[in-house]
Amino acid sequence: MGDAGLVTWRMVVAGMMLAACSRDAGVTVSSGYAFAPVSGTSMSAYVTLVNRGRLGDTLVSITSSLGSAAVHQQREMAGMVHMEPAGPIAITPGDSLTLAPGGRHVMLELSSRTPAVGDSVPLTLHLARGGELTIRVPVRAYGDSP
Amino acid sequence: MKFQRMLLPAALLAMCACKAAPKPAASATAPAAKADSAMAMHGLELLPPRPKPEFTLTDTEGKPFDFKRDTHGYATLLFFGYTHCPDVCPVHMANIAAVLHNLPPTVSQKVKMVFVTTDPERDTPKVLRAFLDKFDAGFIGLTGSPDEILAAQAAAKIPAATKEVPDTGGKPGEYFIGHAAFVFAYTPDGMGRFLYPFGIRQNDWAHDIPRLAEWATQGS
Repeated sequence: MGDAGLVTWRMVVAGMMLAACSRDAGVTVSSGYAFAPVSGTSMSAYVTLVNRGRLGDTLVSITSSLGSAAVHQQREMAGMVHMEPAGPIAITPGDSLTLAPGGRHVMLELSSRTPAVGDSVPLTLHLARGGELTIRVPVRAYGDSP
Repeated sequence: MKFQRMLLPAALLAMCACKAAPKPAASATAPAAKADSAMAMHGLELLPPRPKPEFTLTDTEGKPFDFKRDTHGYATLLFFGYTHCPDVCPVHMANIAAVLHNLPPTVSQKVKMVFVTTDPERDTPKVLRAFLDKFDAGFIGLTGSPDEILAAQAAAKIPAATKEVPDTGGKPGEYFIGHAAFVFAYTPDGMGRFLYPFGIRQNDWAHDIPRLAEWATQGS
């Protein structure tokens, strides 16, 4: 509820800004991939976002037409890895946000078909300022990150 | 977004010391005289080495598995994880499997990979078997009652996995498992000598697994 209100407020403010701001390069996706499910009906996906603009933005959520999605945050503390919902993530100008194994990931709970290696999966990024951005990321097998 | 914190058991604090230790390979300050086989390994050396723990759990065939007895004489990799794990567990399994598949059978046959579930509620023997089979049908999957799994972790001196329910932002009934992120490696002489934290790569495993398998014959 609070997040939705925040998004609206920010969008209004953004809309009131000078036209130059709307031409701001903003947040773009520089890479992404997903791991093919091992067994079961969930899969993890990763993206790297770069804020090439002059204004900060916030990744509010990531959704997918393949099922429910949530960004989860893992933290390693003293050899233990813990996980929790990530919540909104700010991306300051010139900064990047990398979702990567062992850190943050998009957890996709698949509602129908199970993608395999070689397929691609759609992800929609919801940015507080930049709005929606839908991309497709390739599906690869588990193993070292590229 | 509050993170649900928990008390850190003493074993975990002991693990902090291990985690804080530099990678042996990167230890430029180590005396030259210590340039033995352990120093050349890519895993984190455990000092002092720990004897293999004694615990019995149930394998995916429903049979008792006596960890110490049934892995006797093998290089043994021990990991506590769960099949709903987004990446740490499957990445470890995928990397180890890929490396074992590239080794000559004479070497890979000397290695046992043991995966103990920390989520027995969801990881039935069937679920565990299906998960491990995607990596290597020879990987051993173990389960048990929550108390038996806790006892196994205590015996291995591994911080106990925890079931964590998110304070906010979670879905109804959703829970996460906090668990040790590293793989424990025992050499064929039954001693736990190395830890492999998350982030260790296939080329690190490719370097270390043959050395773990041949440890006794290295005259360490």
